[in-house]
Amino acid sequence: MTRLETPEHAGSRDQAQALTASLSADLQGETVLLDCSALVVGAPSFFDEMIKQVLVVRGAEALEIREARDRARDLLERAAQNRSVRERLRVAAPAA
Amino acid sequence: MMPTLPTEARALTIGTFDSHLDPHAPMCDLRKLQFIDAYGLVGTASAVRTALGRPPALEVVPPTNTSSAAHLANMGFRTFLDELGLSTDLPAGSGAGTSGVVVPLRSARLAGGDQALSHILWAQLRDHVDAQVLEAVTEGIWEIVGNALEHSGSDAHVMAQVYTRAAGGKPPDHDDRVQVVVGDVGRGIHASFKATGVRETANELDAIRVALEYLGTSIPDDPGRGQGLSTTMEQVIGLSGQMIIRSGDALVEINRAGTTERKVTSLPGVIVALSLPLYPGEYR
Repeated sequence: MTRLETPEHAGSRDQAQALTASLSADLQGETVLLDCSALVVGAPSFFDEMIKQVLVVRGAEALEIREARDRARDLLERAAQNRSVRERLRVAAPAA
Repeated sequence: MMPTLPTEARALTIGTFDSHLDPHAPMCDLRKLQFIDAYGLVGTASAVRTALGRPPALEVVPPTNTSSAAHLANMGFRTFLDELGLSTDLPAGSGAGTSGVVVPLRSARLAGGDQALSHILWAQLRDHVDAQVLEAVTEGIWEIVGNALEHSGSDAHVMAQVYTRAAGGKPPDHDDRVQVVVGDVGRGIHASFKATGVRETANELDAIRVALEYLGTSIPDDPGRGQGLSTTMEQVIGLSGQMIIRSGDALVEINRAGTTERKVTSLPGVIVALSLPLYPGEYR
């Protein structure tokens, strides 16, 4: 499983593109883990671009989200819904 | 053609800026200025940037009132003019003459400018506003600056200020607000839609309405685009705030009470202002 970590301030499409640039162009059958534990603030465009790059462009089997607060989870779920890939977004409940 | 500039105003604020824009101004005359907020400053900066390069040579006359001149400098206007190569008699910013927290006017360009801005806003505002307000304005800045850089064909200029009347340890009241404003001097929202042909818009007002729709975008073949502005609006209204979008000759203001639309003196580019109470939960 490939693991990515969000920066503390994550808001732009450029950041999401840079974060995913090292991934293989074809991720079919693979799961990508996005660790949001360092995230302080994240904006809709960043999350939408993450969904696009991992699940749409590279076709990963799943994008698994860890340690995301409610707001980030909500924005990721909306983005996945808009791009019709909601079933491939897995959002783990935050650690208690 | 004479430039459009603010002139002879005592106050340049979110409520008064547009009525002081003169489409035939011989100079940016701030002599009478006594109060200016972040919206007034970003609007003035847009007007000055637009007027640059048009004859006659642009003159910016500073306020006669020394504390107003000092406040203007503290808001970053002197540095802004210096960067544009405009000489002025404004003093250098010293902090004197300004109360509250000021994140001075600065330019946000490509290549990480938005990320630096997010860090600065967060660090400057975090001790002065509710956590949800901080999150909403920082998210909003990412989206609005991102829109400006992607669609306007211009870079953006940004300023934020916390306005508080609380003193002597008094708790903040509902008039205590944070204002965050982004401006650009690009083609405006209507021309941006027109350029890609994804959505037909009749004029600037119509274009603002479309831009505020969830997933209302000028980007073709990318179904997740166009959520930033509407999501920001949703956040701001949810926190009892106000959002203003000005593009060209149209202005739309949204708050909990509803939406107001009006024609204004035309100014190239877009200005988006977020104004929120510092601690909205206590006054809902």
